[in-house]
Amino acid sequence: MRRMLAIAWKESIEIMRDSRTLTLAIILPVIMILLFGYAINMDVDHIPVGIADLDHSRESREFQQKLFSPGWLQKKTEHTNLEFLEKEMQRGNIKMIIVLPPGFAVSLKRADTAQVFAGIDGSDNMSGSMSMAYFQTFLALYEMRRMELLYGIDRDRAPGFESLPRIFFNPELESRYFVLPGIIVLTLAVLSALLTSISIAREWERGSMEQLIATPVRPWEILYGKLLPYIGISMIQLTLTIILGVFLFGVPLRGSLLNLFLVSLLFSVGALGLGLLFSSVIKVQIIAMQVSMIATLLPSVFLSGFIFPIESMTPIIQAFTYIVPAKYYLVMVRTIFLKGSGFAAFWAEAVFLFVFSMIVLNAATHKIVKRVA
Amino acid sequence: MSLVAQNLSRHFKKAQAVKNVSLSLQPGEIYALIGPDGAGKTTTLRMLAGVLSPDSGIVEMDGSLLLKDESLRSRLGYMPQAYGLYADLTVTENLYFYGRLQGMKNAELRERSRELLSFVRLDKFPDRRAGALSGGMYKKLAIACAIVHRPQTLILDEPTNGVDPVSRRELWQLLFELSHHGVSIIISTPYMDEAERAHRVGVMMDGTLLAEGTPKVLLSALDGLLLKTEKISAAVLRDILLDHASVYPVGTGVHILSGSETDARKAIKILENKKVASRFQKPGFEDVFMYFSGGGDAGRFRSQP
Ligand SMILES: Nc1ncnc2c1ncn2[C@@H]1O[C@H](COP(=O)(O)OP(=O)(O)O)[C@@H](O)[C@H]1O
Ligand SMILES: [Mg+2]
Repeated sequence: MRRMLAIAWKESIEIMRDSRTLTLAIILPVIMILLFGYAINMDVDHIPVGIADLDHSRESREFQQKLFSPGWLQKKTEHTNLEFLEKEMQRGNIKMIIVLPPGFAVSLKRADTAQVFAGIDGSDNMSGSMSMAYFQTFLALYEMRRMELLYGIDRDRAPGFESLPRIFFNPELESRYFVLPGIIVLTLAVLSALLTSISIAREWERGSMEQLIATPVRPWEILYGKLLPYIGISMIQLTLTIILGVFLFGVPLRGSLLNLFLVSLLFSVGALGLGLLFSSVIKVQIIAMQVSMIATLLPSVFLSGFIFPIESMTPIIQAFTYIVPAKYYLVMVRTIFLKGSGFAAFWAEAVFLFVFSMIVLNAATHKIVKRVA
Repeated sequence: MSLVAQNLSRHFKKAQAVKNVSLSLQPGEIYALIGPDGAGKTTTLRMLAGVLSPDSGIVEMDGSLLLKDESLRSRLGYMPQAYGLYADLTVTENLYFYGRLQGMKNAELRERSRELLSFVRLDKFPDRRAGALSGGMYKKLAIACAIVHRPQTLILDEPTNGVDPVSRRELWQLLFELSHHGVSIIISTPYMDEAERAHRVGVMMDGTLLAEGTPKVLLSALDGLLLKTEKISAAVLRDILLDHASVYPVGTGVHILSGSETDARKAIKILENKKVASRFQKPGFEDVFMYFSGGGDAGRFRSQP
């Protein structure tokens, strides 16, 4: 015990004096938030549009009114000079140009093909394609409405179409609610494993390990001594991510903060242990770091349900996600954040994480061998 | 007998690094393991320190198997060849860390670190980061860390390598003081001249302990066998080598090491005939090594700085 505390004490001093660790713990959440903050804002919302209404008809004004009233696209400029609108797009004042050509109303009434032109700002790929998709869906609906009026088609016979835009555009604008828990999972997983992945390998590379293992210190004392201070760092980092997420993005935390920290503790111990396991097996900092990075980043991004819904994966990959801790942790973080439920709602996930952490720590202890070769 | 090793062998892949080495340390004894790079010194010391398992053979401390009893490690101090301290920790913190790993309490450590720092002359820099120490000071701190818990046996792998002559002398002074207090010390060195300062010397090559004894005894084995000449021509060399002597350059001259006194006298005759001046030479440990290794490769020694 005294020896474990000695290791923890030594490790803490090293962490505090080597600013890289703390810098990483602070910078990583910021980077992740910036990176995925882009995704957070990927909902079509108030995309500035420049419109050229060359028809000046009642119909064209009605079309505009319908187009802009939901608020996803916002009329920023109206001008009949297309060159002017293009300049506006170049300046970044508008992201989309919509042109209603002369004769728009006439062709609508004649059940003719009504022409509408739309151009998007290709440099802003995400909002560009989202607004185009929205616009096309709008046109499809508009077209249906027009058919109804022209030919009296019963719109109840094509109900699927009407619900399309609601699913597609997440009308409640809740994607950030789903993204923030994902960022929390990703950041904690990557940082935890990254920090510890170098810590045992560093002792080997520096040559201190050989002197260390000549002392009566036990493998578990090395392991848990190294684990303790990094739990602290992980929790600091988690606090930072939560603060950024809640205050910057206004994601409400409906559940208990204590529960959030408890399940995060469970998860982070597993991730830290994984880093220690790689570190003690691989013994080379740079490789241990890369392996940890891949082993935590990929599952947390692709197999946790963060980016791709698990239900839409092929059965084999779905089966594989059952051993991905990030999946369980994500479920718990989302539940705590969005539903506000307590442990009763996710005890099975918590048990899984606990078992996972124990297995990893056990394996790591066995892999710290007190021999040089 | 504090530390006893019996029939230690160890191989790596195909290479047999250590073959059947047995040695033991008396209390207060300084034992120097000499041999060129790759002789197997580090492998031997690692097995003695319990950080490497032998393929066969045993290491005992005070009659118990070292690898069977972790608590025995508290009686052992070890400084590896590729040792590394914690650069971000201060001098004192490094000492405290190793002391705590050995179960020492703070009060005890306060006293001990003061004492040790003056012992290794680092008392002016207790709060300096280890990473900011000079090479010699860093090494002395490493030794201090190895002895913070007052081990009865000390294993130092090439403690004098890369150290300036002044620090080297200081270092030997430290070793003598420790041995005076009853600490058994085994060191390895590739510098043959250092062997003379040890109480006992083991000559190692190709994984084998070729000879062992006090410096005096080892050197006296060469009595009347060693000649020195200034220069020697190829023709003379051939004539001398017919009598199975080994000839090798040392400093500015050439040493001629004969297998027996008869051979040595023959060599003197040959040299006289060729009008080459020669005289009997007091042997050094390089010659001792040559003698016991049967004229091994002198080029494998590291010359001292
Ligand atoms: N960890 C190791 N892996 C592979 N070979 C090794 C290892 N350690 C030592 N050797 C080999 O064993 C032999 C003895 O090495 P070593 O004990 O380091 O000699 P010395 O310390 O006298 O220079 C050398 O041939 C070396 O290459
Ligand atoms: Mg060596």
